[in-house]
Amino acid sequence: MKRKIKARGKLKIGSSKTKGHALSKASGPHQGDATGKGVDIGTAFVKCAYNRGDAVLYRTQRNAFFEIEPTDYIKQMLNSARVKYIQKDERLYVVGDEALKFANIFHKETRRPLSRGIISPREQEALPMVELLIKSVVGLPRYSGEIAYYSSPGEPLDADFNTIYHEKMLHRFLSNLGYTPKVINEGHAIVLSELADEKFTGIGLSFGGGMVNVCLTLMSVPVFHFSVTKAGDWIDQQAAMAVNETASRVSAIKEEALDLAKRDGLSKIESALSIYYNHLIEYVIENIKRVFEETEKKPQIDKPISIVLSGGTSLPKGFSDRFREVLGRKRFPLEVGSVRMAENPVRAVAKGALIAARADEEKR
Amino acid sequence: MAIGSTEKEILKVVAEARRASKGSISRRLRLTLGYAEYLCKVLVRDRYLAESGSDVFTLAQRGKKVLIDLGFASGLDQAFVKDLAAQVAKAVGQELREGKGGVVRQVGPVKEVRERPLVEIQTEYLPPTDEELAQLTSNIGELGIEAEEEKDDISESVRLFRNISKGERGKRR
Repeated sequence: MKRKIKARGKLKIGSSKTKGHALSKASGPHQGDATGKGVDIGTAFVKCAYNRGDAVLYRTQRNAFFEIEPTDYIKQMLNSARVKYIQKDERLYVVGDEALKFANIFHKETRRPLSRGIISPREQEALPMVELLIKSVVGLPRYSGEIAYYSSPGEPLDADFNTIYHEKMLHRFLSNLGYTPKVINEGHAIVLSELADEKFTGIGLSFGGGMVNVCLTLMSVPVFHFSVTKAGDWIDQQAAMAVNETASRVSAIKEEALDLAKRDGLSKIESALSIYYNHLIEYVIENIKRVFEETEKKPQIDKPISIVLSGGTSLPKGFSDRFREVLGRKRFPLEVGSVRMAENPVRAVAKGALIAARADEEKR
Repeated sequence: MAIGSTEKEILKVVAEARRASKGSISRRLRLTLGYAEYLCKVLVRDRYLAESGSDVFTLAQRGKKVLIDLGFASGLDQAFVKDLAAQVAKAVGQELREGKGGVVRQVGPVKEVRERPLVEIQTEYLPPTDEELAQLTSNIGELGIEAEEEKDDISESVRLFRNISKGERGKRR
């Protein structure tokens, strides 16, 4: 059962009297709720999961900005249209889903402070804005030192960068808020979220905006995890180049209308997207095979494992069928029992991180 | 004075930007502001950089020569390379006229070049964001962020995860 709750007034930033920010505890969980929070910092979205009674609450914000003319009139218009913005010096940025809409209207690209799954050291100018977004989504801890697990991608196989800077920045943002931050691999979080019935044994796959994350887990212990930097954004860019469109527009079509089960009557953009989805799935499976073959101590798994698919890029209809189809054509080194979508593909990472946080909190 | 690798990186940053502030150098190379300032001052003192305005630096003749020696010219735009080549040619010509360089150069006894001790720099530097964060204004607080509630009892998963983790740790011991 899903219910929408409007949590307002918990974040006060830069009012005319006081600049800076102030967070109140009223917005978040109630007293007596299980403590611990799960935070999913993705290229496309920031999400936070926490408990209220026996329900899990999710707060989400799209991680995108679009710069517009900073006049008082425009700010008034944005306020009355309930469009979120951040002003930095003489620059005004529309934030969130609306940034994507603005980008489409102006036929331009949004600015993304995270690229390929991590905070880029080159995007230092956007750092305070990322911090602000994270603060607004995560809120304050219920007590000083509450555990917050935040997701981090695995080391990329196909790019020359590491995730240390990203993790340290997130660690600091959460510490500044008063949390005890702990890191969890994205793929591992998916296994925790989705494979309790299989004693947390299987492969968690997160098809995000900037990366695909993979984690093979045996009895809750990660055997290997890694990431590849071809993912949703790569599909958008490749398809956009193929059909001479902007990546933002292709992304909007991908998110709203793409059906990978559909074989006939595809538009040019849909055809291009379908082709690049195939490429991406093949690429991911080939990399899993390669890493498994290179693993020195291969795990002895006595029964077929499950593969769980999640992430925003896995949302188009027919994605899991397409994955099964491509997997069926490959010689996969592990016996696969089922390939299924996560119960909620865009929340699985935050939920898995929450499970880890609560388990740690209960140990205290 | 011999020039270290970080100083060379600073020269490259300044060459690319034509004019660079200590702030932009520190951000680009992920150095603390204080350390970037210190190195720039040393480079100005040794005439590799010139100060143009408050804490803004441009390449000096000596710095340009270093970049040419490094073969960095390929990364620069054509007009700049031309200008650089002309200036270096002029300087070399001057040296030759003064009998400092080329075949007429007197070579003294070979001095032992001591390896410069490595400067320990803080590689885990994280840029401060607090001040900039305080400067942001936003309506996100007023508009709020929606929370979606999902009936989902994760207690069983939490208990199972805790028990399995405990068991695995026990086994490993």
